[in-house]
Amino acid sequence: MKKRMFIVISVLALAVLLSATAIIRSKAGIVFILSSHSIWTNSQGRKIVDAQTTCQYTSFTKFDTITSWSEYYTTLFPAIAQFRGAALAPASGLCAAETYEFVLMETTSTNKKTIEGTWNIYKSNGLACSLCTGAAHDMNDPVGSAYRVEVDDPVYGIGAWQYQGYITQRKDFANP
Amino acid sequence: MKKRIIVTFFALMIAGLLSVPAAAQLFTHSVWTNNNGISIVDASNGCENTILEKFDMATSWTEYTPGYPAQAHFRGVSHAEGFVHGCGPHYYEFSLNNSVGTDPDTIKGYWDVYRDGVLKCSSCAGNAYGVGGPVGNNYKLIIDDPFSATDWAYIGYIDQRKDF
Repeated sequence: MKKRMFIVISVLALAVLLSATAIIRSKAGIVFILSSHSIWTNSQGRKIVDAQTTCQYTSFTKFDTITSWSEYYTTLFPAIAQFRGAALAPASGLCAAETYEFVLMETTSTNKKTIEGTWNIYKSNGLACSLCTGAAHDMNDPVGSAYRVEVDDPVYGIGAWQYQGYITQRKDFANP
Repeated sequence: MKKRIIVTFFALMIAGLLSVPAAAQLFTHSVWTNNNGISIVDASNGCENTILEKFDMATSWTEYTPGYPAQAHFRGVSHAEGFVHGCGPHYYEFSLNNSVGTDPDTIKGYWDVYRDGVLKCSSCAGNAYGVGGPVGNNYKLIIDDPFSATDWAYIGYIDQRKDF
């Protein structure tokens, strides 16, 4: 009997939870739809830090980023995002010329300025960091501002890999 | 001896297989629609809405290569006037939940469709076609509704695109 009561209460609680999140309304009664964002970088690179060599590159022959994401809200709006940045860094000082790719493999959470997830980093086409934890920050700033991706390396430490670029174009939308 | 050769052969084969994705050339694409919609088909009431007050979409995806998941994002939102009796007005939202395949022109996956903030089709199978076209062309997102003979559709123009 107690067990049945428990099940009924659980089902009711779940139903209330689902109905509350399926329709998201503001105080004014307007249906609230979560925002989506997209950023492009066309050759405006800022900085790449190589965790393995500690080389810091600040000028690039090529630097491209495409990302888009929707803000996360409860399980009904899963965190979904795409991010890929690719750059060709010429040799500078003791640092050799390399290509770098920062690819988001899985998203764990998103909001208007951050994408958290696991990343693959390719260095001159070799996998340099596989499914490493990291985040893209400062993604809500206006065109001309910089964002940064910081990825933890299991050997070289927290935020050892960095990919920073300027926002060339952006698109954001919320309620239709 | 034979066994060792076979084991070595397989080990080499696996090594060869693993090195392929690391060297794979990835292609990434992004398409935006800025208030330039064509049509929204509502599978739940059979209405085709062509008077769209607002119509925005942002998508980006990297082409699928072995060892790399089909990572994609797609979300489109629009307000349909629905002048036909029984057709609206409604807010629509088409959101990609999970992508299972991508190529230069297509995003395949499972989609959520919301109408006025209410989930109308949950993780429904569908494809976005024509997203590889040039600016000015249109793309079509077609989603199969298991409870309707009509498919959901979200059709708009490509206003801006970036590929690398």
